[in-house]
This record gives sequence, structure tokens and C-alpha cells, in this order.
Amino acid sequence: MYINSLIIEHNDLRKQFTFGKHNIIKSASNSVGKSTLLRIMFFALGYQIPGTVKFPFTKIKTYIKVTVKSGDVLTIFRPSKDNAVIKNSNGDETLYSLPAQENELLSNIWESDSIFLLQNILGAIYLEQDKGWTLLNRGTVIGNIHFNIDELILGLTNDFSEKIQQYESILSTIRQSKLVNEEIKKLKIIRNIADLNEINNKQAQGESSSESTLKEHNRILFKISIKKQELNDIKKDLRDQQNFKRFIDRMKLRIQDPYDKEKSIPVSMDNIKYFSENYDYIRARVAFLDTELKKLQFQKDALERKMYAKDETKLFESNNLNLMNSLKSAHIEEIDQQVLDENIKALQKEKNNLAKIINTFINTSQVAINLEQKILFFSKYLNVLDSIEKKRNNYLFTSNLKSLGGTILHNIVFSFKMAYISEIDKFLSSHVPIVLDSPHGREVEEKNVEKTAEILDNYFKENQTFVATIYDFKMKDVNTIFIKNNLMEDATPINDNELNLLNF
Amino acid sequence: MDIKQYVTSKRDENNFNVLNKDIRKLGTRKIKNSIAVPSASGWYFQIITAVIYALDTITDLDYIQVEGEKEDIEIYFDNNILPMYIQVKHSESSETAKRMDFLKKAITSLLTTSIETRGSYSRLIYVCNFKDPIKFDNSEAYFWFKKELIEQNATNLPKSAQEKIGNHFVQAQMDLHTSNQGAGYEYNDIFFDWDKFIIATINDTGANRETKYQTLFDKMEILIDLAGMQVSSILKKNLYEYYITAFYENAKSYHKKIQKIDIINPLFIFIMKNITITNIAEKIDEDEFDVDLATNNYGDFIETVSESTSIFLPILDHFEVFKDSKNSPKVNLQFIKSFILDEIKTLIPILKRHNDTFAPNDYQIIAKILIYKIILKSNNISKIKKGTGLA
Repeated sequence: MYINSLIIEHNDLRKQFTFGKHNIIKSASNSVGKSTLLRIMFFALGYQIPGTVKFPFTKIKTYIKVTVKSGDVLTIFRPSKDNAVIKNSNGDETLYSLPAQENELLSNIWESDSIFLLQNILGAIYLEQDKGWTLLNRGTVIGNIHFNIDELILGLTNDFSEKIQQYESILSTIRQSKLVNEEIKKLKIIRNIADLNEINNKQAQGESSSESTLKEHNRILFKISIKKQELNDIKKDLRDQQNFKRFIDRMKLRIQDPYDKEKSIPVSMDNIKYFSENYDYIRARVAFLDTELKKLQFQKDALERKMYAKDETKLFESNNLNLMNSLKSAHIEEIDQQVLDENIKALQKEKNNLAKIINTFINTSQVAINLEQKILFFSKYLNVLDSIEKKRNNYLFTSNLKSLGGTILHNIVFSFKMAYISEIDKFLSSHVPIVLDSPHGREVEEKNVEKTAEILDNYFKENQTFVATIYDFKMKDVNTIFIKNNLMEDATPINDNELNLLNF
Repeated sequence: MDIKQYVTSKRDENNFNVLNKDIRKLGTRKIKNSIAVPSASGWYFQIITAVIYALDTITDLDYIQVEGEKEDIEIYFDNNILPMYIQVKHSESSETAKRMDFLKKAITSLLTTSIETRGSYSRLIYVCNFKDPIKFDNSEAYFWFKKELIEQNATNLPKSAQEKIGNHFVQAQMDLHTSNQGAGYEYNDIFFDWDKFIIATINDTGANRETKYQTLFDKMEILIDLAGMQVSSILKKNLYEYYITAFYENAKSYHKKIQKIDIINPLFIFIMKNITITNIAEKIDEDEFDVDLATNNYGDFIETVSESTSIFLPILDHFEVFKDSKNSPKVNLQFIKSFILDEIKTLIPILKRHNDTFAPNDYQIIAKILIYKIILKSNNISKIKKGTGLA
């Protein structure tokens, strides 16, 4: 994917940035808007990137033009943080409401349907100045956007057709595992409160019936999660169609009456053949699934009342705060602690088993092996191989390396990221952009930065690069964007006549 | 003496002359009993009654409000038809000693509604679930308590029954007068149209729910018929379960609005649920593939893509073009099959873009099933919409 140009509109001003293969965003001093420009670039691509105090993204509109692998040129118009319009070379425009349809939008840009990959590309390619240079394999990229190595590996494994079935079962295992986790959390809270009240109900009577109720409860929770998923999927379709419906209403289209030249017929949902049938069907599906889901939730509530409180207090709320509140008013003596403990134990065991299945799959996947080799390669280049070798065991997934800090961590992170990018490129058969914000960091020596530049030059020549810095950064054929005082300097006033820049 | 004469004569006896009082001064309801929260079984019966009437009036129905502002059930219509107001009384057993009390309360409420609506209603109905709601000699002949919705216009009942109703009507007027002390609701009956007043019974006795709510199960056949679907006990059972879950079990409060679309929605689902890959395979003579395998391997995929506008709109468009090219053909199974063969080559590359993980031969089968399903779905849904007046 290649980013050609970006237009930012802010306070009735418009500024266009044109990018080359290797871009350095430079300024004489800090805090003039280099990082903001990089953030806006990702915002323009559809990501939920937060604005800055100086430059809130609620007030900007962006247009970004990218060339994707297939050669298609897409223009993405982001009129607000809630939606984006993609226009392709054929002139087709598609509206996406964000963040609900983020994955769909991103799948157009990165040309992949793998949701795990789409959700984790940003963390691999964007080394944001605050968190980017310390984010190794799990954590926050920026705002609410997270990166997770396990998901990335799953995302990159998606394509192995012989592994598809195994992969799908892993996905459902992950879903189950998340549910189990939730349950453990809830049960632990209940147990803690019971502990707090020093109530030790040693009478084990009625235990087996409680156990079967708990099992039933788990079964219903699982069913609920499946229904919810189904409902979310179909709601996505519904939103698409609603968007289309609104679009038709807004366009005020008319067609010529073929039998009477004097007459024209307004186009509406009712006279577009076939559309409303499907729309009605999808609406019916939503209503139907919703009804089924509510029924399950009633069953769940009823079971919970039976399990823990006779006074209709709901002990199982997904929100922990509610849970705590309702527990305060519940009869603690009615909680059978032994049953609770056993359930926590059983769930913990189940969770560990599920985690083992997932880990085995991820650890032994070809992608993980490739990543490890590449990390070793780049870390050797950057002279941090020793630090990694010491933690030899499973370092790809470790959280131990973080304790290193300083230049070493900086270089290790860079090795990891370059390994990720190289695997992503291979998977997409494309070259993703690499974005480095302030590669000099706080305590990084000049010779290290030189090596960083060398790696880019030697191994990622085909990738478009963006480097924001106040220092020199050695790259060939550089397009320099210099910001003097602020990002919107030299912007032109917006002319009302050119409202739609999708053709820019 | 018929009911109108009776009421007038009683009124004279009691010096009820304040008939032209300025009704703009009406205050809030004082005697209306539907404000009380219904009992669980009473509420269930109310929902059953609402659905029965929804089905009975489905063609012109706009929506039904259960526990409305004025009555237990309020039915609103399209096509400029005035609303119907229903007062529901429920008893735990089919015989009740309180029936005359119920009658008076129901009449009181409906009388109030007649004033509040200034006579703008199509029917005022009193529905109950017990025998002999007026307690008169020949009751069996008029309210025979069988498993159907029995509706009697008060003015068609024998004179003795009319007098009983008239008697309670006058009592209701007096009660209203007393309770409002002449300041609120009056006994003004100029808006009460006796020709629009109906007494109805729904028999809900029985050993299981099919027999208990047979009236409802029978009314479903009207809807299924209008939708052009095959009546079956499974379909009726599914509909019943859906309605009860959606309107009764999932109701968050005792005020439930039931739209026409809520009644029809499940039909869209059930008609498509019945069309399994096995059915389709039979229709398009696909004996070359394993139905179970197909259902397992790409059932979900077919379901998903069949709802994508970028798939179904082009297919239906090509279907129109295909029909045009054949000069008003008879659209039967044979014709659809010839279209399927024509369409496959266009569709397969599109399907591959959506999912490229299937084996090459699978796409043929997926495409065939998908095309058939889309055409069938569009036909079925427009048939249901047309039949039920939704289109």
C-alpha cells in the first residue's frame, strides 16, 4: 500500500501534503505538529486515532489518496470521526460508519479479510513517539488501539488452507476462553465478598443441584455469546442497507417514464425492485434474533436468581460495579462458598486447557518460527542479540524483555517491528508503509539511529517510509516535508464551490 | 324494550338530563380500572387477545397497543379506519360469580373511552374468557363457548339480555356521575354507539396450550393463508412461541406496542428456514453432491452472501434481463433452472472474491444453490408482503 497524498481541512483552511517513497517530516524544534501529521494520516485511513489538545480531530476533515496492491487508487474521505467514504478508480463510493465498520474499511486498504491482521497492522508499522518504541508484543499502540502478538500470528496464519479448520476451532476456543475468563472474574468477586464476611458455609447440602445449575448457567452464557455474535453480524448488513436507503432518499433521483416523455418517476425504496424484500428480511432476522437473545437472557436471569439470591438481586451483571452493588444487598449467607471455589477451580482449569491449546497452536505455527528467525537477524544487526539470547525461551511472547529499558529496549522493539512488517509484507504480497515517530528517542545514540536507517535501506527498500524527526536521518531519495511553526501554515482558504474533493 | 329505549327510559326516571354538558371540561379518569397492574395470567390472556385481534385485522392493521392510555387493548389501522378499543376481563376459571361486576366495569371504561374519543372509534369491545358474560336465560345460544372468537353485537341479543346490559350501563353512568361529583366524567352517552358495541368471548380452557389457545392457533391460519404459505402445525407452533416470547416473555412493562411488521416478521424467517439445502438440491436435481457435506461446509457462507446487496441485486437484475430476453416466459422451476445455468459463470468469480478457500468444484454447487435461494427468497417475501398488505 502506498500513500500518495493527504488533504487536511481545519477551520476553513485546507492543506495538501504530497508524499514520496521515503518521507522525512522535519522541523527545527519540537511541538510544531510532526506527530500530529502522522496521526492524521492514520486517522484519514479510518483508524480511531485520538486528536491532540491543540488539534482535536473532531474538527477536521481529511482526504487521503492511496494506491493499493491491485493498482487501484482509493480516495478516502473522512468527514468526521464517525464515518468515511471510499471512492475507487471506477468512481464507486462506499460509506462506512465508524468504528462499527472499521474492519470492512480497513480490508479495502490492506486488501485482506483477516480481522486479526487488520486489527494489528497498525501496532506493527507505526512506532508512535510515546508508546511505540516500548511496545514489544502486547499493549496499547495509541488511544484505544491495541496490539497483540498472538492475534497477529493468527491473522498471518489465516491463509494456510490446510490449517483452516484448526484455525477456526482455535477462534472458537478463544471465544470460549474469553467467556470462561469473565466467569472466573465474577466468581472471584463473589468469593472475596463471601470471605470478607467470614461466612463459611460448611454444609454441603444441595451442592450437586447447585453445580448442575451452574453448568446450565454456563451453557446459557455460551449460547448468548453465540447469538450476540450472530446478531452483530446481521446488524452490520442492516446498517449497510440503511446507509444505502438513506443515500437513495438523499439523492432525490428520478427516472424517465419510458411511456410518457413528460413524466418522471421519483426513485424510492418502494420502487427499486427487489431491494425492499431483502431489507425487510434482514430486519425480520434482527427482530427474530433479538427475541431469541432476550429469551436466553431471561433464562439466565432466572437461573441466577435461583443460584444466589431469593430476593431477585441480580448477582451476575457484566458490569463489575453493578455486581458489587447488587452483592452488597444480597444475602451473603446464601452463597455456598464451596460450590463457588470448586467452580472457580474448574473454570481455571478449563481456561488453562484452552490457553494451552491456543498457545501450542500459536507457538508452533510457521509464522511464529519465521518471526523468531527474523527478530534474531535484526537484533544481531543492532547488537542486542545477547539480551534476547539470555531470555532464549519463548522470547517472542515474553514480557521479560521490557525490564531492559533504554537503548537496548529501543533496538529490540525495532527488531521485533521489522520482523512483523517483513511477515506482513510476505502475507499480503505487498509492502506496507513504515512510520517512525522520533527514532532518536531520549537516550539513543547517533550510531544506533544510523543502523536503523541502514536496516530500512537494505531490507525495506520497497516499503514507503515516514520518519518524523528534528535530527538528520539518512535515507536515499528523500521527500522532505518541513514544518516551520505549525501544521496548517501556508494553508489555503476553502472555496465553497469545491465541496467534494473525492476526485483530487 | 331494546337497549337504547331502555337506557333512555331509565335516564328519565333518574333525572339524568345533563347530557349536553360541556365535555371539554373532562378531567382525568377516576374509575378506569385498567390502571391496575394485571395479574400474570390476566396479562397473558391480554396478550393472547391482542394477537388474536391482530391476526383478525391484519390486512388493515397499523399497530396494537396493549395497556394503552384508554383501554386494555387499542387497535389502530391504516386506510383511515377508526381505532378499535377493547376492554379485557379475565377469570381464573370458566365460571365466575363476578361476571356482572366485570360487565359493569367494562362498560364504565368503554363509556369513558367513547367520550374521550368523541365517538371516533370503529368498535368498542368487551372481551372475556368465561361463560355467559351477561347471565341471561338463553346465553348458550349466543355465547356457545366453543374454540372460536365469539362476537355478539349487544343490539342483536334478546330483549331480556339487552335490558340487563342497559341496566348495568345506567348503573355505570350513575357511578361515574357520583365518583366525579359532576365535575369530571359524566354519564354522557351521546358518543356511545350501541351498534358498535360488541361483547366477545374467548375460551381458554384446555389441557395443553394447543387446546387452550386453539382460537389463536386457528386465527394464525388466516395469516398463513394470506402469506400464501402452507398451513402446518409446526409452523403454527413456531409462530405461537415467537409471539409469546416477543410480546409476553420479553415485555419489559405492561405497555406493549405490537406493530403489524412484528406479527409478520417471523413468517419471513420461517419461510426461509424451511428451505434447506436438501430442499433446494431436490428442486434443482443436484444429485451430484452430498447434501450434508454441502450444508456443513458452505451453508453459512451461502446464508451470508445471499444477504449481501452486491450479490443478490446483480443476480436478480440478470434474472430480469434473462426474462426479458425470453419474451414473457412462464416462470416455473424449469425456467429458473435454465437461468441458473446461464448465471453460474458470472457468479463464480464473484464468489471466489468473497471466499477463495473452497475447492474448485464446490463453487458450481454453491452458485446453483445460491441463485435458487435468492430468487425463491425474493418471491416468497414479496408474496408475503403483498398478501398481508405490507407492500
